Amino acid sequence: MDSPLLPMAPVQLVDIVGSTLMIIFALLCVRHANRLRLNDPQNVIWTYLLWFSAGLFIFSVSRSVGHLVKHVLMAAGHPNIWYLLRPVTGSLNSISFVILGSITLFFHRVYSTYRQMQEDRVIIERAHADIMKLNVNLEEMVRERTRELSASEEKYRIIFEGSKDMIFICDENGNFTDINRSGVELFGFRENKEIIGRNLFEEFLVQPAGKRIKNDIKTGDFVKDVEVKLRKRNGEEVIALFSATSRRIDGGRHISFEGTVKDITMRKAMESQLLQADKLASLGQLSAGVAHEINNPLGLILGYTQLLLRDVKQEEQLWDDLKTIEKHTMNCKRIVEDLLKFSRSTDTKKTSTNLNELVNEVLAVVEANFELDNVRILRKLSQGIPRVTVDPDKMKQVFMNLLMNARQAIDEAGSIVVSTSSENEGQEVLISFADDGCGIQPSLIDKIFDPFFTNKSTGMGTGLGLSVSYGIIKDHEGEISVESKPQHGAVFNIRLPIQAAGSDEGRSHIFKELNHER
Amino acid sequence: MKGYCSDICHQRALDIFAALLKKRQRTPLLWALPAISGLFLYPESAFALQVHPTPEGLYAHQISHAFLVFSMAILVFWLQKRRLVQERGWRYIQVSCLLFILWNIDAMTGHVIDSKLGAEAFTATGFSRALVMEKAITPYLYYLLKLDHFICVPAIVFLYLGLRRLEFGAKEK
Repeated sequence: MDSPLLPMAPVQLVDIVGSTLMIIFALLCVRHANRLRLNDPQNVIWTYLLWFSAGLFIFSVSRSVGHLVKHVLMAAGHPNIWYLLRPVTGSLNSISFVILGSITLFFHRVYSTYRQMQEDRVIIERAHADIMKLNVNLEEMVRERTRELSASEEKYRIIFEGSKDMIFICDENGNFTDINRSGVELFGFRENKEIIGRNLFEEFLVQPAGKRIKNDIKTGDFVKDVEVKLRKRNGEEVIALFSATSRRIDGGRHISFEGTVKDITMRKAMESQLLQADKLASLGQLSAGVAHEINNPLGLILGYTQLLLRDVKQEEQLWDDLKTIEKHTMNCKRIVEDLLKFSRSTDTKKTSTNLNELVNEVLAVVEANFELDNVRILRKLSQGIPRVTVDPDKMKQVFMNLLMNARQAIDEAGSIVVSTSSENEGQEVLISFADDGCGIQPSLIDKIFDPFFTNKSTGMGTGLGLSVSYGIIKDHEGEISVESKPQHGAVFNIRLPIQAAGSDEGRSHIFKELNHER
Repeated sequence: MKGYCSDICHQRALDIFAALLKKRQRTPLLWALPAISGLFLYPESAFALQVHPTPEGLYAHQISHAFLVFSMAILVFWLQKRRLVQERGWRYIQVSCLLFILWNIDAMTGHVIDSKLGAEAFTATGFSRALVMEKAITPYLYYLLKLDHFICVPAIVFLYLGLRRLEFGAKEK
C-alpha cells in the first residue's frame, strides 16, 4: 500500500509570494528609514534604522532571490544548475544574516551615543539660549548705553560749544587739545585748529602770571577764579577770571588741564566807571556844599570891595589894593562857579541844537590860533546826525575844554580830529575829539575827571576843566569817556541822547518835527 | 627524545606564563604573547590548511541564524529596557524583532529536519514535488516549517509599520 502524498505546491506558492513580499517590504522599509534620516540627518537613531533596514534589505534580497531562482530553475527542469547555485546562495544568506545581526547589535551603542548627543544638545541649546539671551540683553544694554553716551556727549558738546565763557582742555604741558568757540573768539582767532597745539601758559597768559598759575595748578591740582591778563592774537590784553583743574593718572603724573576763562574786561571797565562816577558824585556833592558856603562870603567881599572902590581915587595906593582884592575875588568866584557847574547845581537852558553847528562855532574860535601853532584840525562831521536837546553854551564850554586839552597835549605839531556820528540806531550822537599828542598814562586815566587834578604846570590850569565837562555831560544824561595810550594820543568820546529825559523842549521839538513831516 | 623536548618547552611556557601573572601585567600584548607562543610551542596541534567537509556550510548557516537570533534578542531587550516600546513605532519594531527571532528558530529547525530527510521523503508530481507522508511526525513538521513566510512576512510588515509610524511621529514633532 502506497503512503499518502502531501503536495509541496502550496508551500512553493507561499514561498514565491512571501519572497516577493519580503523584497517589496524591505524596499519600503529602506525608503521610510531614509526619509526619517533625511528629515533629521543629525539623528543617529534614524541613521541606525536606515542601516538596519538596509541590512534587512540585503538579507531579504539574498534570501528571496535565491528562493525565486530555485523555483524557476526547478520548474524549468534545471535542478543541476540549482544544485550548483545552492551553496552560493546559502553562503550569501549566511553573510547577510551576519551583516544584519552585526548591525542589530550596534543598537545599544548607537542609542547611548544618541542619548549623549541629546543631552549635550540640550546643554548646548540651553547654553546657546543663555548666550543669545545675554547677547540680546548685551546688545540692548550696549544700544542703551550708546544712546546715553550719545545724549551725554551731545549735551556736553552743546554746553561746551554754547558756553559764552572759554572752555579749554590742555595736555600736561599746557598745549591746547580742544577749545570752544568762545575761547577761539576771545583770543581773536577764526578757527579752532589755529589755536590747537599752542601753549596757554606761555603764549596767552601774560607773564609772570602764566608760570605762577601753571605751578599753582600742578601743586594744588586746581586754581579758581584767579584774575589774570590774557594776550590776544593782536597783542591786546583782556582781563579774565581763570579756573582750571589738573587731571592725573591714578593720582600720579599730570595728563591734562581743563578749565574755564571768563572775560571780565567789560565788567572791570564798568566797575571802574561806576567807581569813578561814585567818586565824582561824592566830590560833586562836596564841591556844591563848599561852593554854596563860599559863594555868599565871596559875593559880600566883592560887593564891599566895589563899594569902597567908588570912594577911593585911582591915584591912591588903596585903589590898587582894592583892585587886587576884586581881581582875586573874581577868580575865586569863577572857580566857585566852575565847581557848581561840575556839581550840576547850576541851571541849564536846553534847546534843540544841531551839534555840528556848535562844533563849528567853537572850532571857528580856536582854529586860527591852533594853525599858528602847527596844530591842524580835521572835521569828520556826519551830516545825518539828529538834533540834540542840550544847553548850547555849556556844551560849547565842554567842546572848548576838550579842544584846549588836546592842543596842550600836542607838543609841537599835530592834528586834532573832531568827528560826529549817529549811534545806537539814531538814539545817540557821538562826538569825538582825537589828538595825536602825548596821551595819558594808564595810572592817571581814572583821575583825570577829578576836580583840581592836573598834570599841567602851575598856572596853566585849575584842574577843573574836565571835571566841569564831566558835570555838564552828566547833566545832559550823557557819557564822557577817554581812550588813550601813552605817546599815541587820546580820544575823548561824548555820547549824548537825542532827547534827555524830562526835557519838555526836547519833546516839543520832536512833536514839531513830526508835525512838519506830516 | 621528541617527547622530552616537548615537555621542556611546555614547562618553559608555563613558567613564563606564571611569571607574567605574578607581575600582574594586564597589557593585552603581554597576555597575547604567551598565547601566541603556545601555538608555536605545540606545532603538532595546528593545521596550516583546514579542509571543510559538507556539513560545515550548514553549520555556518545555522550559526549565522543563531547570531541573528542573539542580536535580535539584544535589540528586543534594549528596546524594552530603554522604554522605547512606549512609542507605538518602536513597539512595532520590537514585535518585528520577536517575529524574526521566531522565524530564525523556524528556519534553523527546518534546516535540521531538512538535513534529516532523505531523497526518498519526496516524490515528483508533475512540475512539483510531494512529501511522502509517513507515520513519523517529521514530514508534517517539515511541511509546517516550510511555511515560514507566514512569520517573516508579518515580521517585515511590522518593521515597515514601525518605521512609518516613527516617520509620522518625527514629522509631527
